[in-house]
Amino acid sequence: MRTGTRTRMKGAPRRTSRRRLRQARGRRVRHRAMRFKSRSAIRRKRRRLAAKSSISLLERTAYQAGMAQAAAVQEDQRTREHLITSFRDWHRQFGRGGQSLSGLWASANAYNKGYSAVPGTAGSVIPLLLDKSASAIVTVCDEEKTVSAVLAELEKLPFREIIVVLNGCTDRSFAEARKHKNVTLLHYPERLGHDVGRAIGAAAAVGDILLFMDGDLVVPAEQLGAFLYAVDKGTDVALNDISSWLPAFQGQDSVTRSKAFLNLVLGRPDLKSNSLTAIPHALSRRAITMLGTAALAVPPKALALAVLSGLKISTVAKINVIKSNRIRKGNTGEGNAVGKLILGDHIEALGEAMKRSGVRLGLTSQPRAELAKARNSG
Amino acid sequence: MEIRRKRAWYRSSHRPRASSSSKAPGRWKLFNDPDPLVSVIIPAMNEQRTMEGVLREAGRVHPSSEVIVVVNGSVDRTSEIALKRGARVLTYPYPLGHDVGRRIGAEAAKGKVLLFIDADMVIASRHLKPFVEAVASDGADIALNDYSGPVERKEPHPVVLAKYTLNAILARPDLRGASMTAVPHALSRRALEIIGFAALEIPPLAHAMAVSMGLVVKPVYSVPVGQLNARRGKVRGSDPLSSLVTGDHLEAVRWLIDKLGPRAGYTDLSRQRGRLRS
Repeated sequence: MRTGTRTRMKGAPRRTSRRRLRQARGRRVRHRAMRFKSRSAIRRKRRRLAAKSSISLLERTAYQAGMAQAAAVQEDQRTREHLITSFRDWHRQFGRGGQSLSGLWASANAYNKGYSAVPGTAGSVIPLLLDKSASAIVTVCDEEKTVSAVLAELEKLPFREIIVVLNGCTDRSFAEARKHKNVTLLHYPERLGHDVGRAIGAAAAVGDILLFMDGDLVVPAEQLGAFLYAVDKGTDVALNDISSWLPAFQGQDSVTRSKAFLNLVLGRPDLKSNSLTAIPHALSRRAITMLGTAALAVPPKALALAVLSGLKISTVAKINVIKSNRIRKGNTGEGNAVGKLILGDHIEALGEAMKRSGVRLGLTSQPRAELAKARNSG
Repeated sequence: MEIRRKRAWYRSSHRPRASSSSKAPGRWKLFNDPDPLVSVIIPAMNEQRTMEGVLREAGRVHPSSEVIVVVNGSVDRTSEIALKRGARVLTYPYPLGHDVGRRIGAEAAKGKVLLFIDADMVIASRHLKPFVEAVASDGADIALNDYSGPVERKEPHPVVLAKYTLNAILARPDLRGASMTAVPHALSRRALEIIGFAALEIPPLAHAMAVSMGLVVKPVYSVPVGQLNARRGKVRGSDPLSSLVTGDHLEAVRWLIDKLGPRAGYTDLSRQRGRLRS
């Protein structure tokens, strides 16, 4: 395709129409994109395309394998455990999803569907292959409308236990949670206050991966899988990345800003406004042991301690919890009660961090004079 | 060239050229009132290029004023120019930094209103007067520059973030990014007596003290100093000034914690900490 500039006599009328010019520019841009693409980039793209098409193949084979495995055993042996172990075996032998979560997720999901399609199958679970055991902790305070849906999503995942901490409930939340068979209920008639339920649930949990959820927010199991998988593979604190849904700085609230400030002074500006205050998030057993469960009651403090203890912290998924966060009395508007609570939490976190690594948290206390000198010469 | 044009951007350009030429170099001199209402405090380090303009504008702020230049670590003609123009000059052979320079200037000041400006940018006197007026006649103890820096992006400059967060913690989100870290700002004598000279060396600390001790802190007028500031090179890959200023904000937070408790007086709502076992 020849798109070089055409020579034109000086002063001759411009004959190319605007549309033509636009087209030509489009061609040039496309052309340039191809030219500057390295060979490895092209290869990567091909591989990506291949992977995409092979996932459907993978899903088909996984589905068939699931059916075959379920049919191969007696009806009473078709349990969640059998589903998981048989998938593990199959995945080890034939799995083509590799280590990528999307590939694993697709085949696990398809395998489960195939397995459950066999009549008389009791257990249905997406056999996300985890080396460690996982616990889910759900705090509930008057959330009868959503708690059942939250638990239904969690039940799709291979949790060892699902702990529901009910506190101060005056509605039918308890009855709703009771409908789910494999759920451990911790019931407190009085309100425990913000985030205390999480700490109490964590103290009761035995798993090596702890996923924290609230009863008012339904997150699809598929998105939660990322948290379990990340902690299983060595992350200690797996956070949800909400930065895509935040407005520009001038439109942010004080809470969002204080989260970013805490991360900044802890030397983790890359974490932006992401915090343990937001759910979902997952912690490793190592994190729980090092921080102690009581620390979880003040989430920013727990995050600060996690950073200072050298735990591995990263964002692992992008789930929009802002739009679906329930609006309650006292959590809306600048300077609301919950906002003040969280601001106080951040002050507490800063104070705790200062106890450990000095008032300035390692930020320069280079003498102002020296700094002035360096700047003045610059 | 580019920088020079930018620095002079806020100069009073409305004034006819003839009037400024009547104040030809060598003619005009500052008058330091022995009992001034306003003290203008200017820390300066190697600022011979802008010194003259800064002094001229400082002298026009108020009829009863004194101009104090704290020349520190200068190897150029800064001190000569300041003396020639009749400013009170305090000279230090070694660099002090802006904040320490301001403290020293404040200690020497006699005025009821203290106006702090920098020597590296010329700000026209009409943009300085609102700060003095707010303190002298509008009852403000601290008149701040109502300029918050660029906030259009999701992730602002660390210093902007620190200022906003400190103001939020101080329950003054209305101040946005206004802070004693930025010039111009003016202080009343009362403010100075309450927060003390030493605090001026850490401006966010002075700011936090002023707000929490009940002084009247007002953002009064916006001078976009961010656009006037000279771009300085980064030293060894990181920006040491950001780091210093952010650290200063932490010191302010620490002061609040020491004074008001670990949560600086913020609610714990219904949190039952007694239930926790570690």
